[in-house]
Amino acid sequence: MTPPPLLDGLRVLELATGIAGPYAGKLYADYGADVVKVEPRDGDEARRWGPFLSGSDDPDASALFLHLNTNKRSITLDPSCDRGRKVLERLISIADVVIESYRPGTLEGWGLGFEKMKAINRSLTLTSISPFGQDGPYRDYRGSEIVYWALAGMNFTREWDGRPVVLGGNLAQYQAGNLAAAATMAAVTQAELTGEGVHVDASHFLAQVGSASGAMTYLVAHAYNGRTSAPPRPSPEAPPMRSPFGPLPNGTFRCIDGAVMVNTLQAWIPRMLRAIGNRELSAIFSDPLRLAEPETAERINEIASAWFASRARTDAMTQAQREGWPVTAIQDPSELANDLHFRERGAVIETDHPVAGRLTQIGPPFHIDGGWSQRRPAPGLGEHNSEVYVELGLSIEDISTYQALGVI
Amino acid sequence: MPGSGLPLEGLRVLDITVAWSGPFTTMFLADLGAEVIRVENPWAFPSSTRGVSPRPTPEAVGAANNLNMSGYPDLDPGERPWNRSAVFNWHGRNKRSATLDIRKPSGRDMFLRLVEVSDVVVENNPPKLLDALDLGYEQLAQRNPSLVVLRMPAGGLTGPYRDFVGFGGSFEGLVGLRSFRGYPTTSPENAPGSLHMDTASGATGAFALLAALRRRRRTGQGALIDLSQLENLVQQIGEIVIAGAQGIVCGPTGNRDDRHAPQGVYPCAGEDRWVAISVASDDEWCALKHLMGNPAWAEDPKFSTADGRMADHDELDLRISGWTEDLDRYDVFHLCQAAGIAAAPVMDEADLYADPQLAHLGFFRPLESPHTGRHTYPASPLRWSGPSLRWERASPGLGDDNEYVYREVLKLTDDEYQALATDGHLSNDYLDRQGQPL
Repeated sequence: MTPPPLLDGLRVLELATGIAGPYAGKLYADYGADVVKVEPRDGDEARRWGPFLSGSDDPDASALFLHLNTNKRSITLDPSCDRGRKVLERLISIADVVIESYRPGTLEGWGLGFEKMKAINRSLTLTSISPFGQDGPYRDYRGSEIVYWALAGMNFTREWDGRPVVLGGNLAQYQAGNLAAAATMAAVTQAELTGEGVHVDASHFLAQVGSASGAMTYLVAHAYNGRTSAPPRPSPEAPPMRSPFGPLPNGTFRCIDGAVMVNTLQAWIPRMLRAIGNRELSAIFSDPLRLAEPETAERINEIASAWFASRARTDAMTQAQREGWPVTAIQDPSELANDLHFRERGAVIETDHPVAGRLTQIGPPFHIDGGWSQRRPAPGLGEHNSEVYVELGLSIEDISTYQALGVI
Repeated sequence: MPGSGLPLEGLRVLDITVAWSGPFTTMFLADLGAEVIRVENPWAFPSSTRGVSPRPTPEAVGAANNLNMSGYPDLDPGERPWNRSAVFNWHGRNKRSATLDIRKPSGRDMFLRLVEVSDVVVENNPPKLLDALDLGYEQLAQRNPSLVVLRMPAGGLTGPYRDFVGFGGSFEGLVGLRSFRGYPTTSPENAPGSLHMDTASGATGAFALLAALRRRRRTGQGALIDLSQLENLVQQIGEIVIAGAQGIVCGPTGNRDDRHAPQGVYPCAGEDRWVAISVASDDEWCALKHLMGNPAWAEDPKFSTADGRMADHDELDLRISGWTEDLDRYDVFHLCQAAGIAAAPVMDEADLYADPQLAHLGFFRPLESPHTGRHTYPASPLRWSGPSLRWERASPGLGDDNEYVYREVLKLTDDEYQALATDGHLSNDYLDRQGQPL
């Protein structure tokens, strides 16, 4: 029996712009929820953020917006005026979830705080996404990608000169959205079991400090013995660190057409030896005395380097991984569309967009029967005004009046 | 913990995850009230799960410059280091630990009996591991058709990378994460590494499971979730992949981006002290000028537009550093934020424990354990108006819950329990091939 779409019947109202909120909304839309994106009249700011496909700053060609807003319907609304608020109240009355990313206090300013929303719709889940949280001393503080990494993650991510650097892209904001999506699903579960809606306070700050990427481990380590993650400053001439485990090939190695990342733990030495199949290397690792000699590390490095240098990245990776030795090719994101694995699994797909034309899109983050589908491309601003407002019960005349008044 | 009102109360999860990504997913489930039972094999120490290595010496712990290796209470690995490592104890709270060697026929049988009384199975090993034991989704679903199974290997359950092994740090370069990190002159090989993949997978795993459980409530149907950690990471760089496919390259830009100028990490008073500042508009630039005391250089018309500030960003960085270098990073942080400019000190762990916002959010909470004593731990990044998230028991030591799991949950007879012990399944130690503690 084919199961229904994963999030069948779930109605989500997205009052969010930028990256985190829309990414949370995208996960719902891509897995079958009906997501209506309520945009301000000048649109989600991400429409104006790069990279742009046409090379210009055409608001319908932001790769970021096109990625984050698949499968959503877009309507425009100004909820700060009386009429706009009343329309929003009607939208809220038939929604299961509201995801919003306005500055803390904005909804209350419209007269639509969580208590008011609950009075309209008792089982509503409200997920608020902000830089630092809905209350507390930093409530009104602002955020940006670099600020989020400064809060957690950057202290142990350093350039060769010791300066902290961001991880690149918009990873912190995506992760805040990812976590908000999970928290929202927990709140939906709660609401469906009890009939009582819950307000989720999703912040970039907590997403960063509460991350698995070392942040929480290091916090516990600090509580255990007082040490902090500040790394020793490497000098610019220092070669990349090879191994914290002794003379084992670790780090990056050059291949014919680029480089690979190599991870060798003590337990994986046999796997490495099988993959490289070098008699001298095998001899070194069966001779504890030789292994302890200071010049052995360099010899191991030479043998491994020579093995990698005579191979293409993917060949080295495939041969090593066949033995269970963690070697991976370092690729550029532009190579993913032609990567056999990602093509075969539909991780990167080709679609047609009415404005952007032939467009590469990203496939599902996870597969499940009746799960992910690409039903419609990211919407134009207000593209679904008539459709959604008519569904809501507004007449064509109402809609044109509201348009003339600037409400829609 | 009946009566908590938490949404996953009464749900049982079998957790055979290693390292961080899978355990991060099950941490959310346990915090939300599920009974999470870690099924751990005492005959195989999985690296970076309960420590990087099974038995580091106190000297090695003290000398390590990496907190994964030095993260033991008072730098003492103790008698059973696997119960004391921060690598495990950041996520293990609320979970139970039972030991079982599922590679042995009697272990496999016992695992299937646990499957019969569970709702969810989570694993993140190379798929061939369970498949070789005939413990794939088909076999599990045969025993329990409404089971939801989350398998989250790096490559997913199909395709050429299916059984690839490695940690988050080894894999991020494969999807391109090393190509846009660091200074513009930094090559992907020399870019600093990260473990963002673990973070991203853990949250998506929780989302996927909660969604599948919702559908199960409505239809009674179980499900198999095939979560490729690599593909989940591709989601988080979607715009870069989409643009890249059209030949638009997004290379490393250091601490700058195309929406903020100036933006950077600036040195402050003290050793290795930094503040990040991010200016998003001309108004914010004027506010920053004002904070700096409206110096003459800042009045140069070339700095009045974002394009101009981007063009001479190097000069701007030197000037701003000249302002910040004598100031306390927290003063710059609060001054900027009060003026509506995004900023933050580069915080280390001590800073975070002392942070008033995290204190307000109740992020740090104490737990006491016979293995580690009493310490303050980071809690859940989830915050809501619903019932308090579970904060019940500290991370379990290896096999601490064998009695509970086998006698109370499975209701084994004394003879059956004894047979498990005789067969070498029950242990509080990791064992070598001879069955001696490692």
